[in-house]
Amino acid sequence: MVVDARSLPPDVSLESDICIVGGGVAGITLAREFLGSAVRVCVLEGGGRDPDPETQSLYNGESVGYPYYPLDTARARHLGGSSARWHVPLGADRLGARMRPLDPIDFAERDWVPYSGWPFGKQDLDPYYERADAVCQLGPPTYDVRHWKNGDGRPPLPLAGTEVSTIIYKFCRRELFAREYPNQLLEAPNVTVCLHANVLDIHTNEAGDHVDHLRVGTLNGKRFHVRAKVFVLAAGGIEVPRLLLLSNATHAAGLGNAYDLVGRFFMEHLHFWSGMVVIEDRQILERTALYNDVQTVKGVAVVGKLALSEEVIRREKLLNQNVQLFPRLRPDPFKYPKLSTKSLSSLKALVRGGDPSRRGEHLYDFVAGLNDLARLGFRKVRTAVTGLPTKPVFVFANMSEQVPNPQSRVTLGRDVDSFGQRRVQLDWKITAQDIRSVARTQEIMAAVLERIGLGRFYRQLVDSVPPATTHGGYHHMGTTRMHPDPKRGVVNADCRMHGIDNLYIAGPSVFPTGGYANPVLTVVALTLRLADHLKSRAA
Amino acid sequence: MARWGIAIDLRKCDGCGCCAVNCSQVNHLPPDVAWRQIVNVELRVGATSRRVHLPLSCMHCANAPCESVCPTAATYHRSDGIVDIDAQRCIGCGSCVVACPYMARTLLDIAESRKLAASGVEVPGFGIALRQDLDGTCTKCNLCRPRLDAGLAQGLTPGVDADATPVCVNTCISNAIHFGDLDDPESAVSRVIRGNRVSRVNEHLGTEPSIYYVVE
Repeated sequence: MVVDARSLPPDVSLESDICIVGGGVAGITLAREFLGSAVRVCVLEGGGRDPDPETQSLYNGESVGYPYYPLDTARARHLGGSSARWHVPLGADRLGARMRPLDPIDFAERDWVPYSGWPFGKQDLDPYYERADAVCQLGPPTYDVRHWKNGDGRPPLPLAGTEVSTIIYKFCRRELFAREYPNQLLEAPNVTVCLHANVLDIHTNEAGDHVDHLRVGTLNGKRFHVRAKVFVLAAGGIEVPRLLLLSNATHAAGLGNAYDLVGRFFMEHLHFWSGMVVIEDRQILERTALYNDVQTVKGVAVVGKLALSEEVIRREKLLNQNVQLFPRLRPDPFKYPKLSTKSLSSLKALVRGGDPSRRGEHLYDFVAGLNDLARLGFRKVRTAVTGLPTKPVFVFANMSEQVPNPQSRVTLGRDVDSFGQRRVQLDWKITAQDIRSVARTQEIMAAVLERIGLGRFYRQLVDSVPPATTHGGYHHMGTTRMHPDPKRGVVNADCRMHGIDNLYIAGPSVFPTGGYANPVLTVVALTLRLADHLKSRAA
Repeated sequence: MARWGIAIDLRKCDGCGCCAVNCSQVNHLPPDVAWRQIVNVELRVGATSRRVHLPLSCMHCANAPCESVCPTAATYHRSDGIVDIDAQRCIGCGSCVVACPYMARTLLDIAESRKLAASGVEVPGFGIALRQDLDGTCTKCNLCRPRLDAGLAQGLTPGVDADATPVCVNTCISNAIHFGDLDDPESAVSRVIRGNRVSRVNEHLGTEPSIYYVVE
């Protein structure tokens, strides 16, 4: 059933068995697990069925670190949450989002990745990944490329036995979590979806080890309390830590923040276009359709990408990363240097008289790049005379893991929202390790792609500087990380807040590390696992 | 004869861009061409801020400047109000691009896409991008004219039946976009316009757009 909180009587107190804060993917998944049961579930959603500007403005905040999206455009405050914004074209008129589990190494403690290590391995989450596949309607629960090769039967790139492998992403339809599943909740007699209900803070008992009630407000001035046996925060990786920091009646630093961990370790997936392969073998080229765009294979939308094997990642001590190949005819001259820039620019420097101390370096670069210079000259003449097309290139679309960094964090800013509460402030950090790992990964991939004959790679990364095109993927992870030790994590392995016996967190904020895979499928899997835990707890 | 129009409820649009993405997908537009763009602006008054998202596309103006400047009559008005382009007549002069006060028109440069395809690279969905006959001509939103006409031929009602309705309308998960016959007072679009305070972009130019925006 649905309730509009704006029309509730004043000072009402709602009660349920489980109260879920947030009506996005995690909240919807959790509530669905109790459909048709005797458990009373209350879902508190700050927005309505559809977005409205006044509610959405509550998500406004300040970004003070590496440039990020405006925080009110990076999140969606209405039923369905950010799933309504999934916009990867899937063919026909369908839109959706990428789905893939994390890799086993993403769960492991790695000595070259500070703060890495989940309290359980991937094998413990695999049964829930299988269920998550079914929830997201992704077809057979396999990501084996042999099952999902090109729709017309052509094999993918011949990478067997190399350091690189083809990985598969599947896609979940946007309508599933944006419309179909919320409609199920609205019709369920044991689920109350309370719209326009903004949780203002969390109140505990005096000892601070048990949540007594939530204080909730509406933009038309209503205030009321919600009580439950168990509370689950599912409002996303930026809003959950904000809510905990605002709830400082018992603990001055914020709820669950005795060790100053709430809001820290904000991680995104780095996305940027950098590096390209100039294609040389047409036969190999014919096997790249799986990587260029979304295909429909056996009725499921899939796309292939490239990733390093775990053995190589461990040997080279890298972060996890994937690369998608995007075809272009020739590089944009404003974005990418000419293929023989080094040789040509060195020649220019020698002729025009550059820095005398660098003459030796310029002479070396000029001579070392003579082959490229000759090729460039030949292509220009050939194009001018024959009009034949220049060679196509594949641009690398990189998506990579970040090292957990306590200085990358969500805190409270100085501005206040319509409820008089401090808005969020995001300080997103990108480290040199993040970029150097991408550069080394590209080198290894480039060597393999050259070896199999696809083409020659041209690097565009400069040292450990994030390229200007660097952006996030709207993946807000790590801000209430999981660890058995309360001094090193905000929640335990059951996603329960340390020191509070009835408060849990569902969503990507509990991730200790992010891998490269989009977080949604892992969020669904973890939420299904949490649902089982809550059911056994109630029993 | 109907007179087609659209009403976009700015109180519901959150700028997700799905309408623009799906428009490009369904109409097989090249990567650098879009029939719809979303402009957003943050309005700040003291400590209060609010973001407004404005989906922009061809306004299918009753007094279309693009039509009056076209030297070959390639741009023309249908009797149902849709401003369309006859690609066979279009010479790609670009006068309409300059004349349009809504930045709604683009000249197609298909050479790059054709060369890419000729090089052996496969890019599924590059439909319009590979049509040599469209190279150098102007392109813009046509209110999904083929879909509309096909649906009408089957007896469907545009704005009601999805198969006869522009893709952007069907895609909007917030139900912020309404389509229908502006001359039918009972159509969805007419009721939305009648029941709310609406505005049109650059009305002072006298273009008489067929796209309305609900502001209150």
